Amino acid sequence: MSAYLLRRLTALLPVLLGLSLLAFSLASLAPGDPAELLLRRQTGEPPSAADVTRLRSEMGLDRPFLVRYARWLGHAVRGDLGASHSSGASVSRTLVTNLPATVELAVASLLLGIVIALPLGVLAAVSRGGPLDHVSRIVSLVGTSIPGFLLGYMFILFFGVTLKLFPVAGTGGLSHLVLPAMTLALAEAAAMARMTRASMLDVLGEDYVRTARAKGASRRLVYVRHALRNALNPVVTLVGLRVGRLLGGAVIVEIVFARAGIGTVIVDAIHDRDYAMIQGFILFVGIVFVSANLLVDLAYASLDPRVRLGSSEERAAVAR
Amino acid sequence: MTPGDSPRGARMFGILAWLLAVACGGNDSGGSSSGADLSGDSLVIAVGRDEFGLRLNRERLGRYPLNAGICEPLLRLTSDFGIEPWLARKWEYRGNNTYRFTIRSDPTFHGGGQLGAASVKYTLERGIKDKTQYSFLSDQSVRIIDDSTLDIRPMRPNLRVLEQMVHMTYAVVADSSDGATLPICTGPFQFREYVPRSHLSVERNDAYWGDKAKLQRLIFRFIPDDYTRALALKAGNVDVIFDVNRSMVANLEQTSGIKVVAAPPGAVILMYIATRGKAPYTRMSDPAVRRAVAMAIDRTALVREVMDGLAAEVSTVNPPSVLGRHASLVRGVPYDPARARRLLDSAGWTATGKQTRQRAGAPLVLSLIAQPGAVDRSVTQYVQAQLAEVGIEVRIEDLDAAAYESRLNSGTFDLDIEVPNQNDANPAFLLALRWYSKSNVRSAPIMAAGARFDSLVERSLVSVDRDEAQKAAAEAMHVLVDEEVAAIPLAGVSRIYAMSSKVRGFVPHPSRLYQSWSSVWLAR
Repeated sequence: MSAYLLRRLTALLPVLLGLSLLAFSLASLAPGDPAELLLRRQTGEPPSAADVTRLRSEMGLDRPFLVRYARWLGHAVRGDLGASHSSGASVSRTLVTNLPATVELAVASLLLGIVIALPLGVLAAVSRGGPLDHVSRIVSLVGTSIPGFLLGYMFILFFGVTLKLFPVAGTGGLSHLVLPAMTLALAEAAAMARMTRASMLDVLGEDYVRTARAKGASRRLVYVRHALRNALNPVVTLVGLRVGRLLGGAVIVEIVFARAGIGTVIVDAIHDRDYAMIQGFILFVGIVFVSANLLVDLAYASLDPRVRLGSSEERAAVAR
Repeated sequence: MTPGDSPRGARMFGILAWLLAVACGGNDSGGSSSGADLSGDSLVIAVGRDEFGLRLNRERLGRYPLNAGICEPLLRLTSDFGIEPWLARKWEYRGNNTYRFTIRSDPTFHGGGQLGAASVKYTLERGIKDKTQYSFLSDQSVRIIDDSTLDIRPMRPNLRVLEQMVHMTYAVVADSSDGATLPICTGPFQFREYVPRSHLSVERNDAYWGDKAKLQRLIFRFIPDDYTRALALKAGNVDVIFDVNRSMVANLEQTSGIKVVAAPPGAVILMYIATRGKAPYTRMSDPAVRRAVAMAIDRTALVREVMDGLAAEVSTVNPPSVLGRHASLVRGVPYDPARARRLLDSAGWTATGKQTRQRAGAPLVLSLIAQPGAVDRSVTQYVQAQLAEVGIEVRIEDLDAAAYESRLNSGTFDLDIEVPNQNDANPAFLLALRWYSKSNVRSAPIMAAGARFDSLVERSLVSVDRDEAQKAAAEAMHVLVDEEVAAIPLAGVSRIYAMSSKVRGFVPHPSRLYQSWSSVWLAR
């Protein structure tokens, strides 16, 4: 297992290096001058050439691309992602400070999504073609096809404005978390429910399930212990893959619900063309994404011993 | 089986019920929550994005670009863009580009400490050090005469510094103040709490030297999204919202318990023209084409149909009242599409039917850019449609903010629409900034309006008498708009507020920077 882990971690290095170069290039190659933009935002009027030159120098934008990249990467590996061009604050500290609110939202959405998706997927599978299956399909269709921001407004209108059950916007207690989490969770639940249903249907046709039934196991035991447990592998993969998407979704949801978090930070950074913050964010999300994938693979490995045997020789040896 | 049929089910049901009860327990108050404490004397005001985090605004917490009533300037901007004494009791021009101000003796800073000339000098020099202010002031510009008297002399001829002194970046702060975390000033409200991207709250200053505020507390909540702000008002989470999106006005007006209030126009939707654009953006260097463009746009219909009547027809590039009785000198180019066609014909731009006009095989195509986030797409599309009627093809270029600035400053556009705000009483403010050939602004040479315009702007800058300054500015604007057609004012626009009908005493100011909350109270 440790050899497998080491192999996977080594494989991540070029991925992260490529990601850092991509993040740095994308932000730098975009048209426009962030110094100019920043000054305009602060005065409301176009700045003078002298002010722009001064600020470009302060921001280090007058240096060659590769020099800036090497310098940034050198600091990044030590956890220092530089200073925000627009606020002057440390990028790492800003991300870390705002991370808990976003993680809170992402975790709540994921949990809520799982709580909705698993029963829905299982029920849809066991009553294939029945009313529950149709309900599941409709819920999934709605969750997948309605954009997050629109769903957010709909929830605000119904639960916030009409029923006055939850506050419309802001960051605070649990009451502020419910609507944003529901908004994000529905899309997650839709995908997970469909995957659970498909996976369950596959597993329910397996011999060992038929055997369990023949032995007189209760329906609940067959579905939960024998079928669901084995049907969860692809769902776990999906959950891992959705983590990055969840962070992306959180950006939109945080804006709609005026929640503090990394989403609002990055939207402001994009408006201000704050290269340092954008680069830091891309790298950060990339690390989260590849880490989540690694965890999924490790979870797979613990569920299925064949996964640990990475090389073809090892697999061949086992086959013999 | 119900959830309570088994011990595990009962436990789960209990947890869910508790979570729901907590979640539905209404709004959290105080702290970093929504701050929606609507009880008693608190007013919750939803504003847009928190801009105090921006590098240069960090030192301006509660002052600019959001004025929370903590600080006050020497002079105050009236609702007709005039000036009135405030922390300065009086002033006089002493010659040699110098104004002498006499400071009031009664204001005290929050928590104690007397206002005096030293505080004003400290404030101005701090602003100069932070490079946060216009007006050509240097660290040699402020001289203390005695405890309550000081002289201010810009380093370049600029008698309009008087009217610039109303700006909130000149609001006086105590030398013990930390502009980023604890602003200490003399205003009717004092700083209480600031949570970045969440809210800024202030409390009534019971020791205020003037009329005390009626409300005990103001909470400014940052809600960047226009629609969420409006929905927060409809849900009763906030009492007042800033910058109501035009598309939501009718809906809010029809909502019981909500009223919509428009301020007098404080900004103008303005078309800037690249009279000296970089090749190939040279079409607008021809005065005939500029005039034809101005004549082809029906501004009355723009106000009535596109802006839903939530705007005003103007001929000036700033709100007309800033020019006083001389505003009528600027007449504006009248809508006359037939004459626009004739002008283009005579300039060699010809067409058959509704095709794009051509000259020597080159089509009359103009590139239109617009200030992102400030100009509604319906306005650019309207301009495009109007110019198409006279055979001019307009290509609207949707740019992000940085790309827009780059295009603007490099002169690679033909037409540019922006919405400049008038935030001081200086009648020559925009003229000197955007078209004056000696302006520091990079785009000024691209839009220059000629020597006569320059000399009129200079006359306005050095006039001791405000009426004279207004007259010179109006004449300069006449040259700009009527003669050179280097700018086309499209419509005067107002800030629109919406609020609970319980909010009373709200008097909208045309400039949001000077919106006062002292007179506002909540009906029970």
